[in-house]
Amino acid sequence: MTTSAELIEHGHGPSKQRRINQLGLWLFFASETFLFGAFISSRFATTQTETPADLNQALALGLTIVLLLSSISAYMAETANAHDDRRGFKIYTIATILLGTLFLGGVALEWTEALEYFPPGTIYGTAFFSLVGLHAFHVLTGLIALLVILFLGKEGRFGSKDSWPVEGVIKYWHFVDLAWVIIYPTLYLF
Amino acid sequence: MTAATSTYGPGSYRDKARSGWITAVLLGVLTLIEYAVAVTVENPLLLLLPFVLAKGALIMDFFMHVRKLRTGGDH
Amino acid sequence: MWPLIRGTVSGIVGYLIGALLATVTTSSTFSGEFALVLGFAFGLMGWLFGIGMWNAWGRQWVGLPTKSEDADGWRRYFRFNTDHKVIGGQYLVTMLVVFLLAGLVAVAIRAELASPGQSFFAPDTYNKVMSMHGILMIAVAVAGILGAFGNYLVPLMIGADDMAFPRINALGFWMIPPVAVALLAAPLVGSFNAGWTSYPPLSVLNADGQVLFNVAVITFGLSSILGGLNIVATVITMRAPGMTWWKLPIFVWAAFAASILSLTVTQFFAASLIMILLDRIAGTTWFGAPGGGTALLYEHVFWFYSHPAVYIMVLPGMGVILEIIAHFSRKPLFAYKASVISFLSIGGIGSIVWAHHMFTSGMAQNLEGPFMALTELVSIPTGIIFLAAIGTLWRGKLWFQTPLLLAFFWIFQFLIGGITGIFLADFVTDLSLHDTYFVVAHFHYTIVGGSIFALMAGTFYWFPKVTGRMYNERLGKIFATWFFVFFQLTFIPLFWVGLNGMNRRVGTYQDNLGGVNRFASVMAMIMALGFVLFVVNLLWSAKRGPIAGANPWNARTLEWQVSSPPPKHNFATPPSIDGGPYDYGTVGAATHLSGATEPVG
Ligand code: HEM
Ligand SMILES: [Cu+2]
Repeated sequence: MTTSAELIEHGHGPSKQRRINQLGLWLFFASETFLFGAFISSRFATTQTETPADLNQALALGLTIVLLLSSISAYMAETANAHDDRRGFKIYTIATILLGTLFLGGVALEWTEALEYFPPGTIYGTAFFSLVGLHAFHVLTGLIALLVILFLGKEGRFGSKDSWPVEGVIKYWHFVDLAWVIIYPTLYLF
Repeated sequence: MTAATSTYGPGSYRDKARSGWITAVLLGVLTLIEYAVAVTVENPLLLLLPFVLAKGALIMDFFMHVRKLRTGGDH
Repeated sequence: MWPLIRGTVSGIVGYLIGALLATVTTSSTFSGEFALVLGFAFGLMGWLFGIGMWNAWGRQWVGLPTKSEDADGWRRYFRFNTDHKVIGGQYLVTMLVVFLLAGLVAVAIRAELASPGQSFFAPDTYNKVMSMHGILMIAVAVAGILGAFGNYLVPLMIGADDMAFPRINALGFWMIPPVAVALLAAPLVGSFNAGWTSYPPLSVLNADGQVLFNVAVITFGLSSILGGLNIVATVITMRAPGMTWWKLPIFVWAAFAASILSLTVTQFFAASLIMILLDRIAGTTWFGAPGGGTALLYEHVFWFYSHPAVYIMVLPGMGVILEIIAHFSRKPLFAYKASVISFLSIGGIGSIVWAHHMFTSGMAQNLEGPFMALTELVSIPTGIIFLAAIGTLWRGKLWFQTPLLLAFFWIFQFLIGGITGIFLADFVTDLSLHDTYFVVAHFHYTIVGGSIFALMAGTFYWFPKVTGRMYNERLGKIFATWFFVFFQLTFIPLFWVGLNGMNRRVGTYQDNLGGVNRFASVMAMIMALGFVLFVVNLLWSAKRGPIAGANPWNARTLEWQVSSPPPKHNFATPPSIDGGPYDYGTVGAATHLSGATEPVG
């Protein structure tokens, strides 16, 4: 477990290690913000706020809602874990994984349409595929991390005594959702 | 890490669950209004920015517990 | 050696799997561009897990206990070791080797430029050689001081037992060998000829080697992001009791400011290189005019990183130099707080001046004035750093050892670099200076003068700490002077040929500039020869030099209060700090480390 191993390395208390981990994760988010920021600002620099008429707005709104639902289930998984509710943790983590997978499925569907109406060779398509692709890649890594904590959590690890790994993964999931909060209007609404 | 395993009372499991769901509903409502504004108004950029900021702030505060960064991060 | 073999084998296997995957899922051939990308990605993972990330880390992701692979002696350096001192040493040696290698490439460039016509390299070959030199040297300047001294010294100087994230630290270092392999293997697939800046459209149209350049540099960026993250987190959370922010040694502040930059803006370099990859492989059109894209976008995204990057290179250098000047003047550092604020504001203002590289690019003209003004604003905090250096030297008890000598050279050279920068930042003069050898001379004065000389100075200064033995002082001084003298003789003429219209990035030039160029070439080769002295001195002294003892410089900062080399976990008990790091000769000053004796100065 991260916590215990890092503990051995440093020999200081769990609450200090937790602070360090937390800070590290937020610094990582700060860095990632610049990566997303580069692509988002490039979208505005090349195409301003222009959107093609063939955008599937209903699908995009649906995807947004799915991701939002996955956020609350992730939040519930984290809370359940912190209160040693093993069953709740499991159910909500699985729900989050399913919703995340549904999101990726939706993106795949959207891409098959997009390839026809605004392929990557057009400038809107360039921004669209780059940004959605970058985000989907983050969703994918988040799903892998969720699978890992689901798998490890089965054996009764974590819980309130070692909650950091769960919290870290869930924070990452929320961060990916946060990125979508900005990408969604950037590509579809503005 | 603290003894927050109680089910009732402030900071309890139930309390936290409730605040999570309220946040989610708020986010959903904001998203729907955002969408409605976007499809009715021409050039809605400035109108939509407050929605983006509000949604972002809700997620950072209620879901990501950004404030715990300062207090040290225990529950 | 076992971890190295394991890493190499699993790296190769990873590469084959990735390349195969690309071949079967897309129309890419086995050596095609997509296969190169996927092969590199899988190969990188294979290498990292093989070298020790699996045992030290990955196992716990599948619920297994981690396995320690600790070793003693030289073997530590060839495995996934998490000791920050080992990692600092790994960086130092790696970066010095890359520096010498890129220096040899520079000698080849100067050989071509010794005469106006084409002598050794076809035009395209020349560009490939010059691109290789550029990117290798940029890597040394970015990761040299920060990777070597940042890792080695920051925990020691703040009284910590290690970095905040020791395993991320090891991960960051072990990403570097695949970067080197990919860059050096690029000639197998046509090399890259677009310079270290890799502007499109050329970088979208040239040989497959460009793809290797991109994946390598993205990986290098990731390593520098992780390194920056670690230093920032370490300084914030791992300071010993009593080590308040205003008691941090100045080098720690400099590393902190530079790390904030590398943590954040490096993503823009990654983004710009990813965009090139997408344009090449996924058919997007970020930079393709026919589809509605624009190559100008690349310059914005790229320079949004690469201007701040010059501060990632030079801020740690400033820190090393101020550190050395304070200890060798036996005086408190002059304008300490102002210097700290300057570091931070150099980072801040330096992040919004990027378009001074684009005055001739055709960007919006009304931006030129603001970017000129902002660029010149950076001279104020930079000037304060000079003030701190000179104010500390002023009436100090100077102790003229090699590090201080190099610090003097640093001041002179960085001054020239800064002053010539003003003419480049002024868009009126830049119209005729851009893309000439004037720019080349400018950035060699700033980067070699500001970063590499500091790397050398730091190497001498901390050599007794790292090895436990003293280097040879006389040889050190001869080397320093040699390097300095021949550096001037090489690069001062280059300002002149630049003013006379010699373009950079072409192997041929006007006939009338032949004599001066030949002179510069000869001087450059003599300069390169001088590094024999450097290498011999360090290698010989590391084995045979006199035992240095814990604190040969009688310095007050914490790293000198432990044995040389320091014990594994740095401090037997967490140190507690009373005085400041530079209270030399101040009557009644508390010692920096409570309990340590006040060194006589
Ligand atoms: C002191 C203030 C400085 C000013 C005003 C300044 C200004 C400039 C300007 C305007 C250019 C663009 C010239 C052109 O391409 O036409 C330039 C190029 C460059 N400068 Fe500086 N500079 C300063 C300091 C530095 C420092 C400290 C470094 C590095 C440590 C540095 C490294 C570079 C590099 C690498 C380039 C060339 C990039 C390329 O085109 O390949 N400069 N500088
Ligand atoms: Cu610049």
